[in-house]
Amino acid sequence: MDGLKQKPVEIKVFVSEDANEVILSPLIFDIASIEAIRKIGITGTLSGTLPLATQQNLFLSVPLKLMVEEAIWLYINGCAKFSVMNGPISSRFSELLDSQSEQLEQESKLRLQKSFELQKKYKQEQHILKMKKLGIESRIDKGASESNALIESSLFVRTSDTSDLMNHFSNQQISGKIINYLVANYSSWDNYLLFQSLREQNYIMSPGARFGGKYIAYPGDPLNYHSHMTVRNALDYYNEPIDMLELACGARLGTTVKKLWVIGGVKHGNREKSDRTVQNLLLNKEDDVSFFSVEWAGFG
Amino acid sequence: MSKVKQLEEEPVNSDLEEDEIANDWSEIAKLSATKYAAVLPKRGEKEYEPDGTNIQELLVYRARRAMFDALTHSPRGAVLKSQIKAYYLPDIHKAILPNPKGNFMQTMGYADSSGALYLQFYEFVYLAERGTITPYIHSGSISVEYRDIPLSVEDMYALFNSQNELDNYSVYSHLKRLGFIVQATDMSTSAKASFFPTSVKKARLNVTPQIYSHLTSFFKTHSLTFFNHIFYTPYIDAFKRNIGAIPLYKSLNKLITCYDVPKTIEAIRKEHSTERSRETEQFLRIAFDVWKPQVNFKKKSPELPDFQVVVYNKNIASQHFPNYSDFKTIFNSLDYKFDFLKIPDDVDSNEVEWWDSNTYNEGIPRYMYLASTKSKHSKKPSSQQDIKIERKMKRQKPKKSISPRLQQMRDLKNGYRSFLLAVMDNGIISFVKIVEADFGSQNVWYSPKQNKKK
Repeated sequence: MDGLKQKPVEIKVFVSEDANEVILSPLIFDIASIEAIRKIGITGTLSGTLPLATQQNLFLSVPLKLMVEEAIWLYINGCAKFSVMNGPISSRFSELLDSQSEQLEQESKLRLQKSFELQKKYKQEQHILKMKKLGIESRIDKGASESNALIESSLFVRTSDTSDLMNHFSNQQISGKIINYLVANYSSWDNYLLFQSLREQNYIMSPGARFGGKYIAYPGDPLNYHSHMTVRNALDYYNEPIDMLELACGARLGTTVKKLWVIGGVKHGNREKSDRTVQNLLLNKEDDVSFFSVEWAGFG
Repeated sequence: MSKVKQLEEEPVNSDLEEDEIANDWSEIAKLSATKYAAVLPKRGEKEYEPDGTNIQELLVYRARRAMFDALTHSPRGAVLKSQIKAYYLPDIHKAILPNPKGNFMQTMGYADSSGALYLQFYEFVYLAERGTITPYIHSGSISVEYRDIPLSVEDMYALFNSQNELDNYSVYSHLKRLGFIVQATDMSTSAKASFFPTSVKKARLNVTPQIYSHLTSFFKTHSLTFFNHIFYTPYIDAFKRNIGAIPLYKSLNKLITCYDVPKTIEAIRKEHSTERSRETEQFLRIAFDVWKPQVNFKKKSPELPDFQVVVYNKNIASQHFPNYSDFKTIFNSLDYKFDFLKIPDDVDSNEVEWWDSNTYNEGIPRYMYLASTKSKHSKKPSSQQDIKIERKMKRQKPKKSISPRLQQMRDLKNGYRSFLLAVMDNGIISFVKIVEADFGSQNVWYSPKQNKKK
């Protein structure tokens, strides 16, 4: 985590032109960053096609979709910074192309050339090694043009994960404002506090709609462990009733999929709900999060 | 170490739940060394909870290593020889392929007179993501020479206009990866088949049908309640004593008014035409037409889709789960292969022909439409495989006659009009099938007479 604090990962958030509206939920495109945050218990959901196996949905690749709570948790703990892009991106690309298209093309050509040279070198070396293994002393001069042509046609043009074009845009500085928009658009602060509390108890959360909850919580990396709990949306349990049907449904389903059905809620201290700000959250010790679990006893 | 070995040797139990089975990235990582993924790797098993042992930590470490090895060693792109270039055009939010080739052309994109292929944005991102095409961006007129300014995956995602579009794309690519043929309904450029004679719905939707439906529905309910109250209620007791339970319950049927689910061609068409032009919210429109994989897909004039999909993101605060009237609107705007319709026995055609004569392209019956387009473009000689398939279809003629009782149970179970609701939760999609069931008018009484006949 300390390493991440020194070099926080970049989370992309695309917002509208006036920055008053979040257009896309938080995304990460860099595999190294994805690996780094996984080590501190933020898994997100990969959602892009894996070029290696394009006809299945189990193993996917970048981009990583983050739950809003995950993104905010990373930010508050200093492990991530938001890189906010004002849209519409297509028109910004157009502007960029109008002024610098020649230069951009040159840049990409150079990059491609470099990559081709490296690939050629590598392939030739491989070829020579292979020949040596077979006991044939390869003469580079003979038939070189032929094999070169072969190598030429097998060169790989890669589509990169992360953007070069967007480096040309001036980046907007980030305030807590964007976080408020994210929360307003996709979740609630109470849900975030539940997330935070569970994360601090070393649970790893992932989206829980398929089990009828807000999160499902794993005791460790979901790659290796079963999840233990289905966590419901935060309940203001001092004021809100629990629906009997929901209680039965949640507990029944939870029991059949071997998970505990958990209701969490925040007891608000002296503070009004509305003055939740990032600063307050950082200092926050007043909000008291409690969890209740329901199990189908099957008694009698 | 023994633990590792045991884990590796344990056969995978296919009965385990989705979540119970870990995604074993180590198997897919091996694929990066070999050439092509023919079979999906089996998945490993999970443990209950961390117990603080080194062996577990090693297992986690290995699992992660495998996962990220697979990710980093799976580059996107194509070799120079088979590279297909696609240029994104910001002005129309589509991509153009000046020199198109490849299998995907059978089901995707549309060509212009110059032979260039246009791809919808979903198609563009999907193909680029799997490495089939190389994405570039081109600004300005399409007649200007293209510059090769490459787009990255990140750039392409940045070009999504809204969360809605991104969600739709996730559903789109999920279905595409499964092998379905998918077209977005709002961007369709093809002359899609329709179940309804006039596709110009708005023109027909003037005041009369609405008033008509209001009137009829008024009379229906009124007559029912009026009639029942006066004549039935006082006699219920008498019925009970003298005639037995069956007539009583039959009459109860009339007391409780219920929505009559459309089951026939006429009913579906009528229901569709009386649908008020109430605009559903953008997010609750039918987003995709989905076809099962097929050889003879006609990109320009596809037949009725097999499924229709509505996408709903459960996390967006401004959206709500569809309520009853939303559902009704969706049901009435459905236009797919209503698979519950029974082909009448006296029709001497196979299923394909029957559907062709009961669907419409641009307002004219599909079989006529197809014939007219065929004369323009001489039909490609069908391959051996196609002929085989056609023969097969013709051969599977004899329909099994099912007992009416079994048929009734089936109808009750499967329901009638249906669509798929894709519930989106941060990249995890749950597909829910929503069906109109008809429990209101089905009479499931055991009647001795019928039984005796048998």
